[in-house]
Amino acid sequence: MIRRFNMFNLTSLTFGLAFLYLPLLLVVIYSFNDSRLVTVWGGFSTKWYGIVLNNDAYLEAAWITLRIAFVSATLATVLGTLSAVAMVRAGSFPGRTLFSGMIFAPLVMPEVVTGLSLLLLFVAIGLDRGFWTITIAHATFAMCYASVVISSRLASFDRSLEDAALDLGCTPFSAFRQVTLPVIAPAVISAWLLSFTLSLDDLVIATFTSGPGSTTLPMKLYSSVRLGVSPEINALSTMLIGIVTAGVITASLVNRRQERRRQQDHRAAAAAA
Amino acid sequence: MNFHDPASAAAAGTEPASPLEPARPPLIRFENVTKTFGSFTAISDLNLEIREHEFFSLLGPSGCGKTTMMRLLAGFEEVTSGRILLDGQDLTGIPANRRPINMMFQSYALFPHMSVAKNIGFGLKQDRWKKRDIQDRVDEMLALVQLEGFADRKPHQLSGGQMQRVALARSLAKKPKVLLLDEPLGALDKKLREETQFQLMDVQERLGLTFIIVTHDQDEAMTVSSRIAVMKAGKLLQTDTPARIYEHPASSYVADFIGNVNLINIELAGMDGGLALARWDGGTRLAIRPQPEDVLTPGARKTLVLRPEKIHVTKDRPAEAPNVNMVEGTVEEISYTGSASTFLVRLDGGMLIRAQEANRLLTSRREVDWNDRVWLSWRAGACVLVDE
Repeated sequence: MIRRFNMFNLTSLTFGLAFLYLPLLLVVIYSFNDSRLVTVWGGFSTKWYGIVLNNDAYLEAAWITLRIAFVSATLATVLGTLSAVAMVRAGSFPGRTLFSGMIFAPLVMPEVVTGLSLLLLFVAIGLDRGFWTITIAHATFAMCYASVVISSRLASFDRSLEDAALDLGCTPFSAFRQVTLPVIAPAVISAWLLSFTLSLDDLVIATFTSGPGSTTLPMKLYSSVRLGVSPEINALSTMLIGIVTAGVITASLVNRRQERRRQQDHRAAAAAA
Repeated sequence: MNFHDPASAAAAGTEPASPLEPARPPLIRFENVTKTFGSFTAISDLNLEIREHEFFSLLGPSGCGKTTMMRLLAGFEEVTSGRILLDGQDLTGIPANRRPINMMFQSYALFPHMSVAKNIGFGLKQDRWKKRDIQDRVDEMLALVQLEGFADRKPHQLSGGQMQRVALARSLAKKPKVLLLDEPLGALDKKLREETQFQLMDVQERLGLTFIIVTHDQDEAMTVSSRIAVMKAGKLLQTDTPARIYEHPASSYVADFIGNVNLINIELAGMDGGLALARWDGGTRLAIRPQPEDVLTPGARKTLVLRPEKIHVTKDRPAEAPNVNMVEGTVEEISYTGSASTFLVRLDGGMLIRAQEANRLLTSRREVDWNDRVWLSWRAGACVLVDE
């Protein structure tokens, strides 16, 4: 926490932010460059955006990417919620430690390993690589993130709310649907947004698990860059940055609102005590 | 020593505990109920009957098993062995959502995403009541807890006392046969707690329901309940009316748990005209009016239960009488609590006795002061004996 805004704090903040965001900023600035040359400023223009938006290959890749992100985020959120409930609620069951370790393992696993192992699996079971293999692969690793986000919320969830719902006549499932889910909804939404963004910008795993006709936008971008950086790539990247930023900001806003409400409740409870 | 009185019948456990409580069939029966969690025994072979329309308290220190009893009744836990009967029906295997028992939670457990009205109507909605009927019952409940006009508030917009009342309204909305209250007033401040105690008693009387309250607060249990069960380590130590628990505790543990008490080890010497005579370490002679159920063998060692407020503190030696006990000591400490003063008196034998006098006079006119020599006296009928 910065208590006084002195020179040292200001300098370190500036350097930190510059280190993180200067490269991105350059991409954004040069996407509005009129010149064909990427590193020479030739005046302001939005023409590259027009070119990107008229490029069918890019549009198709973008459409595939969005569909994959949407489906895999939804899958990951459902699975993540289920595993979070099992982890937080089920107390001790045989293999709990193993299960919890396995949930978190993909978080630290190198993407190359995850991608390769999934590729081997898909080949082994004879699944044709394409839209669905990427979606499954993305759901697999995003589910871990979703599970972490949701279980941290569930851990602070007042169990007596569910007991109260049961007591008032709910079956366990309807108690979950009517009470637990609405209360943890903000965490579920931010888990979905996180999974969506993760899928959107993944290159490595998608490369391993894609097949003909299922080139995602990051893959398209990467292969184009190998032929030389063009201004339209800058424009495309800027749009991606925009979408991802919007996703992350929304997720954190949802989370913050939830946090504020929870603090309000705590204050009310403290006032009651 | 065996003349018949209502108290001895209550001690036998079959007939009414007091003339105020006419005989009713037991609504709830715990039959040899045991509950274990792993290697920990929370409830151990417990038998208990709770009658209809009772305001029953489960009282004990934390970890004594009182909350487990409540969760067994509500259906959140299953008994390990034994069974619980409600109205003669075995509750084993019936899940919480199908028991005509509702619970008010210590944390209130109000659903934060629902309005007050939705919270109160929640149970009715589960039973597929019609919208209009739900509305009517919710209004009725809001009136009962004096929260008209709060229907559209969210729980976080309420004060602690209001949340407590919403929780009460919600748990009463389905008109359960039994209402369980888990430390219902624990989160309220003292003044509000006293008010709410009377409100609870009023509601219970008006609706004619059976209330079972779990508490560690003995004052609360004494105030609200028609009977109290004192628990320790998964067992019932005594189940009785508040007055009998206080004045005729079954053991020194119960005596010590409820209120302040002097516990004095004595040795029985014999009988004299209906009074038991006892010796107390210094050889002081004591007269005790025994209870009908007391077994008095000369030479037996017992514990005398003597409440501070039964002891008189005087500067002059009281008049000698066969049924008056007196000892002399020095005032070591006086604690003033407004309505009463408590004197800690060191007897010449070294023992510390706690005596309490109501402050009938202003403190400035109090006779007894620090380091004064005083006489403590009490009547033979003001104390009881329990096993050592």
